[in-house]
Amino acid sequence: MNLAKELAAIVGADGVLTEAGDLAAYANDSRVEGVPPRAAVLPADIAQVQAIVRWCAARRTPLVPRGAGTGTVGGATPVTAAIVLDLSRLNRILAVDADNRLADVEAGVITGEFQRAMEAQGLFYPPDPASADSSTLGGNAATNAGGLRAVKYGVTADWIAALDVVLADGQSIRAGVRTRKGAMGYDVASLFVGSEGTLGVITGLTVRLLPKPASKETVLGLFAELRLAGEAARQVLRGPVTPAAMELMDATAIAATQGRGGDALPPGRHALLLDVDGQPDAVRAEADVVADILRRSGAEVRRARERAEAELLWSARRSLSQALYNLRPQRSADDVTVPVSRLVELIEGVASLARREEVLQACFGHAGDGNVHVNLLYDPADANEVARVKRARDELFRLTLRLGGTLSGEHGVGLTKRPYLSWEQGPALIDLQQRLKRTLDPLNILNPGKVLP
Amino acid sequence: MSADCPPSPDVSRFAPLDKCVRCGSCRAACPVFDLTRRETDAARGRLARIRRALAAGCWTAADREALSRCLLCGRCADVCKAGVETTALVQAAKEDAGCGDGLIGVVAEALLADDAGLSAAVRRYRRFARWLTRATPEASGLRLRFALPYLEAGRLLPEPPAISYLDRWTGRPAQGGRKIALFLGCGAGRLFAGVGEELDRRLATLGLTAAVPPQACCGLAAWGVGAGQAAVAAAAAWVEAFSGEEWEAVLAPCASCAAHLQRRLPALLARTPLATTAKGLAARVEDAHAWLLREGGRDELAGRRVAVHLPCHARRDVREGRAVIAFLRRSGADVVELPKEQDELCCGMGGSFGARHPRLAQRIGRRKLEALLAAGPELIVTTCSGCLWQLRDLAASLGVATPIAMTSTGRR
Repeated sequence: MNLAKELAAIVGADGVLTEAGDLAAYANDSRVEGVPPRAAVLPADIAQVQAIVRWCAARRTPLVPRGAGTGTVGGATPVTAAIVLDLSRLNRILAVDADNRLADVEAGVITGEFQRAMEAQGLFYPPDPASADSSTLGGNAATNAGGLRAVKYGVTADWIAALDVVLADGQSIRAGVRTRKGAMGYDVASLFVGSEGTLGVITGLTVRLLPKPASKETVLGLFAELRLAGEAARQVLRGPVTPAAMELMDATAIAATQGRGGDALPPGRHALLLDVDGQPDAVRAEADVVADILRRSGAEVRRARERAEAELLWSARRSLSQALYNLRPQRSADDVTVPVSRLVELIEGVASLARREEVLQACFGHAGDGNVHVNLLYDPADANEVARVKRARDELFRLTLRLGGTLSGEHGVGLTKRPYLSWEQGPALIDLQQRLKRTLDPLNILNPGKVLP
Repeated sequence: MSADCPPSPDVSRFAPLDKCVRCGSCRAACPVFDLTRRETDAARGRLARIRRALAAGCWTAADREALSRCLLCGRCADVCKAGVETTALVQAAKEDAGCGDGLIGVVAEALLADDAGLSAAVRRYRRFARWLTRATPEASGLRLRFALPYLEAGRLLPEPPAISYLDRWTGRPAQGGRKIALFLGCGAGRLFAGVGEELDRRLATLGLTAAVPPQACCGLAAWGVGAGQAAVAAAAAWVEAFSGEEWEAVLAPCASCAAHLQRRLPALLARTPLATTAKGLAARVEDAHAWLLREGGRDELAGRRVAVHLPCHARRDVREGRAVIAFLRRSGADVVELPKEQDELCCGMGGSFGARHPRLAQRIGRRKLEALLAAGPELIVTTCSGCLWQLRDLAASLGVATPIAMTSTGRR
């Protein structure tokens, strides 16, 4: 096959997949089904990425960059006979600069492996998406992934000092600085963060690091009413301590984890799970403060006595997305985000819209960021239920916007949020983005059909 | 082997495919993906392949080849948040796609080829193949595990003993007042000297001699390559071999054989007249170290530093597969702890994987061997003959002198 041969000339025969069974593995991300690509290509360095992009440009062939395919909105899902550019082989940690708290990495480094490698050197990479054990740093940057520690440490964007990006014409640029600050020119690196492969291919990152917190304590608050948990989250953030993570889990979500290794969380109540990190003495005192606020907000408070106990709690939290399939065969998983002060209104609104449409729902997520993963659970074979979920989901989006929120806190737009971009953003803003896209990718070969209407 | 074939109409065993939520956690856990970085080499990609083949109504040669690139080590299943038994699905797919069909008889084919113009490596292989056809029963899993690519990758062939343990002791009755039988497995019974003898010594300290009934293969290798009928035949032969007397326990030094017998014997024979007997026997199969530990057996290893390579089957399938560590500790050994990720790493042999994909197998195995050696052991112990063979082969190619053994004294 001509295609395979030409691509093999760039990356070597074992870096090109064109067999139907191989391509089936590249037809989707973790939730959105597309069509098999014409080929999946695995470059091993930036020069190969450039050559592939040039090859695609010359043939007007759409190119879909892919990290680990752990996204949930179809960002890495091919929708036409495209070339999938799988960056998994760019997986080297190139340099760690402890003096300047920076690391240079290739885009395909698995986030969790990077976190562990840094922690082994006494360093700390704070962004912690729930998919960290499989997602990649490049994919995290391309989607501006959030995660569990955003309440204190922010999202991926906050930890990127510079990016290597291959542009649609095959040029490779490095945007950003290796310094604590930088004010030269436009903030071009930021433009590519969250661009979901539509403006360029992120091939490398310089990320910022911190010293690893010496100590951590985990506090669990259990509530009879979800509203109380939401209110408690607000009270914690009004207080003097910023927790490293503050996760909300409603009783439905917790029920889904039972008997699946998630038994660490007691059933029947709603939970707020918090981490406090820092120097040991301070952590103890701060955990006391947090526990006290939770208690005053009506919680029964439990504290993990040792790390293993805390790990069980966090592992239960991380298993939630998957565990929800125990309840119903399918779920809509929207990561709507509101100002923290409106969190209670959001979760109460979700409960009432789900009641109205008679849809089973489960909420969990990053209470500290006002980012709630609203899961509407359904059976795709039940057309009536599918229609009710669709109505409930639209209502959820209207509610989110009324509360001053955004329709995606961390998953991105991809395919499935694309029809809703205009709900949140005005025509002038969308037009500006479309002009940016045309300027950077005039042939429209980079992940076409994603993000922008 | 090259022809396309339709999936069997009964797709019920593929129902667990629907449990996969495609989160991708299996990617980072897979030793093969770790080297190739291909989605299609991780469990999620394999399941996508299976789904496609079932939907298209066709297994292709490419499917068979791709499915053979799985070690069946089970690490993906360990990390799966949705609880998908990926190894069972891949094995079922191999069976359905007819992966095993072309492998049976590979050794015999090698012997039929014309001698002229063969390389020294191929001549060596043919000498070994002659030994295989002479000294192992036709159903032996060893025959599935010495395909030619193995040798072309520059790997060594084990030197078979002149007289194997089973040659010498088959037919020996139990003594000492307890009805204990040994099942050595093909590797320990026929290919690697010393395993059965060491086990005998350990039993002798308890005043016991175990019976050695006539025996062939547990059938794991056939099961693993997807040769379903051969696996059932091996299981039936095994049950017949061990059903002549009422054994208190059947001890297997190889955790992989033991795991296969404990976990799959009843299912493989469920629809045969042997079903009840198989169930009773499977319950009495014991990992030899687990049994010895319970019965107070021990070795003299005071102060010796030992690293343990826990076979995947010992780690996740066999009952009390970790007993070997406690046994070594009770014997006075200083057993080193490996970091979790290294401890869980497969040796890379994976049944026929090592024969089909020798270079990948070597790269995976080298990581494990280096992790074991980094602990500075005087002895490496593993409880599977496939792991033993793999680690010894790699050690020899790296010029490593540390003894590697299935039983604790480290005699080579």
